Amino acid sequence: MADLEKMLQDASSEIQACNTQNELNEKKAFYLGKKSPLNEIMKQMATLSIEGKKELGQKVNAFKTKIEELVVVRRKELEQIAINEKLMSETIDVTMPGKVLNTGSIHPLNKVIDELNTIFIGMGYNVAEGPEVEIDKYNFEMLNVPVGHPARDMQDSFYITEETLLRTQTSSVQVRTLLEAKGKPIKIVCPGRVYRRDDDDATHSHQFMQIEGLVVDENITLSDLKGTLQKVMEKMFGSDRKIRFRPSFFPFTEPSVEVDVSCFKCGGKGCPICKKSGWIEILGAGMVHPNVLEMAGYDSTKMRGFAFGIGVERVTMLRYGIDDIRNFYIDDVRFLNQFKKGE
Amino acid sequence: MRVSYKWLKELVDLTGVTYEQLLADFNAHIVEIDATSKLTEGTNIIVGKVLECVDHPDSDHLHVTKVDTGSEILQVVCGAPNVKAGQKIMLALPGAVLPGGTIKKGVIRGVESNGMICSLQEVNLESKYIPEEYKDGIYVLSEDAPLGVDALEYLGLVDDIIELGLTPNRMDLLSMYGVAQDLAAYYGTTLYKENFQLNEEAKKASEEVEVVVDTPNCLTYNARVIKDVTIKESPDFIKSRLMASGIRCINNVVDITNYILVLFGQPLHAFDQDKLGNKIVVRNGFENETITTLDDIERKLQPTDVVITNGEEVCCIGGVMGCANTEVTNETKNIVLEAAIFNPLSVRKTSSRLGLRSESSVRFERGVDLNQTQTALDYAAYLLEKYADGKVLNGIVHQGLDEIASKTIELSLTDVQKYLGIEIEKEKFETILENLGFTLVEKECGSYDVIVPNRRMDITIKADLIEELARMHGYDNLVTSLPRMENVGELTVPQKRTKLIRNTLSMLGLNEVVTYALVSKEYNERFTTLHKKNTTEIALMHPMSEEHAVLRKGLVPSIIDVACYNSARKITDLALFEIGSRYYMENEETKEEAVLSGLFSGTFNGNTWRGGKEKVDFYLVKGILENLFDHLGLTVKFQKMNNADSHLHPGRCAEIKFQNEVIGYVSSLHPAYTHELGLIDTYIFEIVLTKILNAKSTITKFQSIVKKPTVVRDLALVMEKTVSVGDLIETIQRTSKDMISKVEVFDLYESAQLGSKKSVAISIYFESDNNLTDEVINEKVNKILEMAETKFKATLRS
Repeated sequence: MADLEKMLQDASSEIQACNTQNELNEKKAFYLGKKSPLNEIMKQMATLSIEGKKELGQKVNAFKTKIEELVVVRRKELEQIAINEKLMSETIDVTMPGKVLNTGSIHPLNKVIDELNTIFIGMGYNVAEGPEVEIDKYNFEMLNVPVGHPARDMQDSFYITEETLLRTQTSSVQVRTLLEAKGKPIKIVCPGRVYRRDDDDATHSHQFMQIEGLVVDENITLSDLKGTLQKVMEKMFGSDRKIRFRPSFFPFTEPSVEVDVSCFKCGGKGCPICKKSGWIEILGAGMVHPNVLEMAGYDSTKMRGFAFGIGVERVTMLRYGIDDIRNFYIDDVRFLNQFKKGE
Repeated sequence: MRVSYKWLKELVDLTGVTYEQLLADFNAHIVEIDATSKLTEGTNIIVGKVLECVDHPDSDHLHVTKVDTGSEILQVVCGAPNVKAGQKIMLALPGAVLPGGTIKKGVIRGVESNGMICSLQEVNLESKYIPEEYKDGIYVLSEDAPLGVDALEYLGLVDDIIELGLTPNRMDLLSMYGVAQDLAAYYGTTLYKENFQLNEEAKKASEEVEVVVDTPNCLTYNARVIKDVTIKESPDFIKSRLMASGIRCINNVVDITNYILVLFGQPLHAFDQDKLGNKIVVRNGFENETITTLDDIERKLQPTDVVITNGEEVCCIGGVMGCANTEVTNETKNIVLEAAIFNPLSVRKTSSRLGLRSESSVRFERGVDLNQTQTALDYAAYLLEKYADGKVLNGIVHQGLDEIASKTIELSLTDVQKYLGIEIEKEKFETILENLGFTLVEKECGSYDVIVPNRRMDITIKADLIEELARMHGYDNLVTSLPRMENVGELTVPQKRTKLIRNTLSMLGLNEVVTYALVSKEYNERFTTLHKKNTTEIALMHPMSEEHAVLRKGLVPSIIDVACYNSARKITDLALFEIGSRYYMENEETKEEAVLSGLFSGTFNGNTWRGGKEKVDFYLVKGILENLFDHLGLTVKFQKMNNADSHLHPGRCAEIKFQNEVIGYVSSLHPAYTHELGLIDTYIFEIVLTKILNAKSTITKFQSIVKKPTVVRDLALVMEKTVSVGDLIETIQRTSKDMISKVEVFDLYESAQLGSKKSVAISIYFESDNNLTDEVINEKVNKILEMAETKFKATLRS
């Protein structure tokens, strides 16, 4: 019996000493298999009394169970060691840069146009478009700028023939939209390229972008224009922005106003961005001139409207702090890459 | 319009209004201020008298002077060449702040100096106003200047100048009276106009001059005759007011005509009567008539010009410029003074054709108030009598319109409310309009006839009056409301697709660019691939430069220019795209079409430490386009392009077909061309978007998921290099459309051993709800192999 005790002690330490699953399997087979030293003890069985047989049988079974248990425990231990080793060997420097898929960028002018479009669509506007090669009639005459009108001074144009030119303002789309709508209410914005005879420098470009807005209905007021632009400027430049109107002149609106927004940089205290005035000139607007409505077949005693024109380059330059308009058309990749961020 | 603040205060009561407030009110209620400046700058400058002037002992150009300030005698070192004893001069005392710095007591080359004798430059007076004799030295004041007083103040040179950014409609603000009137209206204060009494001689002007107007372009013509004038300098108040207004002083007669121009906005012209003769004929210019104007330039006239003649010679281009033959000079004794109104359009044409924009022409172009013309002329005569010792002959020799009748516009309080969205009280409404000089006749409660003086030619309709009320009442008083309409806004399908293209390409790693639509003629000849034969380019009539002379017929050259710009700055990893327009004429019709173009060079996703740098090649660019079209849900076909532009690589150029029409191409640039441009291997694409943007939009249709697992079979096929793998794949797919879900190429192998052949490894994906047994699949594969052999001479690689 003492042998059995001794054997269990030996087996226990041997199982514990196994370092691989294979060794463990072999050890298990050794103690529980055909060549097990247990067999020697089992040979005594025949010499024993019934009680003795019973007692030995129980002890042998207990021995077997114990071996099984020891193997399972060691097996689990070995599995855990293996996993730990794997984890250790697989450890990496998570601070190395990730495998980035390059993303590109949307041009800042188009980003701003898209943002303005989204704001206006949210306010119920549709986005209209029109040709850049425009007839004089739509670019000037039907906007209340007859031949010889001094206002033509302000925007010397690129003529293609006597009657056609590159549009100097997206306002030409106003005329087209009015003519198409045939007296019905209108609520549109129109972004697009326009052209004027300016030498390209830090603040001038012979090609630039505008967004025109036009709303026509029975009860449109100048206060509606102010409310609309107030909302747009809040969304573009921050919710605490204020706007103000100043007297101005455009042939196709009456009254005409210049619109300033309170400086988003200094909040109105005065800084270099707003030239110490607290206000930034942002766009021109007004009530659609009755002549424009009448020429397009609207009854100006019944229908009124407002219109505005936003300089996209100006808004973009203010928004991103860009100081030279030529950046937009040179397309230096180092410039473009600054506009990867989604907004 | 430059407004003298000092003069303004004498024309309108501005008591209690600070300068800053005045500027703010101009901006908010009248017109934008472009700039403000000071006529001169400098403090602590007094009138002094040079008592003694000797040469500096240690200098070849300095002088040592003793200057009497009225209270003490100071020693001052002065470097001006024209300083002399006995002169009254401007002395900057120690502590004086000048634009050039602060004056201190000091020692100059061993001699004590207690101040500085000033030139006009040193107080920042614009050099055009400085008389020739004082351009290089100190300014000498008149002998009666009192000692010790502020010199700039004494000279009338302390003034603030307010530069108005005039809009084309406000012709009334091109005069001091006009500006003062608007301010008086806003503040509700008094406008001061001088009451003058003209002393006329007994002799009638009409006895000396006859006026004939022989053109409708001269609306009215008035002439006065002033005898025995003395040509001399103008009094200081006229000189300083003219300087503040931006006008150079010449002599009293010319200055007075300019003074009236600024005060009334009425241009005048003075003729030397002895040179002119006794007749004035106003007529149109003759075709090819040539004359020499005051500036000594010979000018060719046209029938749209108006000229003033003496019956024989042209003496003046009406409203634009005079001629030397009747110019007022220092010897002039007798004057004929003209106050006329010319047709704005005619003056505009003449002045812009001749490149002669003057203070006069600008006013005529915008419109001058005919009802004030004679008053302005009378006031000029009065000043000539007073400041040029002139004797004014009796009466005005007049031809043309006497007066322009006032307009009447109906306006009600309700009109205003409807336009502005706010109410203006009745009392306020009446006050504003009356202060502005309009006369109100109330017809029924709240409804008026508003009588508009001719001075306000810009007011012609109701909306104009409403603008007057709005700006005077203050735009700050508007409320903020939104239009009450029931519109629902959304982008159209083409607009949505354009946005999708932009978003997709930028997310795939491309930078969007925007370039100019106006290009050179040579530009349009570079790439003609996508153009039909019968189209022509659109050219400007008067381009500003050859570089921007025509509208572009395509976008690729622009994007290549962007690549060249960046490449010159060592940026060669490029992935660019632009969505723009191309322009051309077809059958006399202008076409504008949306075009997408792109350019790649260098490496793509090249900044990663894992997997190395991926060099841009044809298949990368094509893959990105395939990605894009997948995203748009549109099927296009890439085919080898024959007869490509000479700038394109003939072996690496595919046309892109959509609905059986070539809409674009993707290609490598020709190596010779990239070499010439200094570019590395470059790939481009250009796609006309019209068809794509307008293609019918479909919504994704769900298909139930196949329940059995997908079976994949790989085949390696060997075929001639010339075989189009695209066609092969398409044909494989067609063999069993219902079962083959995808055919992928996973390897392309070429070697010396294979010679003219290539090996293409393909995975074929089978999907079906039926059991895909080996038998079924083998049968399909055998069919494919048979087809590959017969149609493409492709065999299974052994």
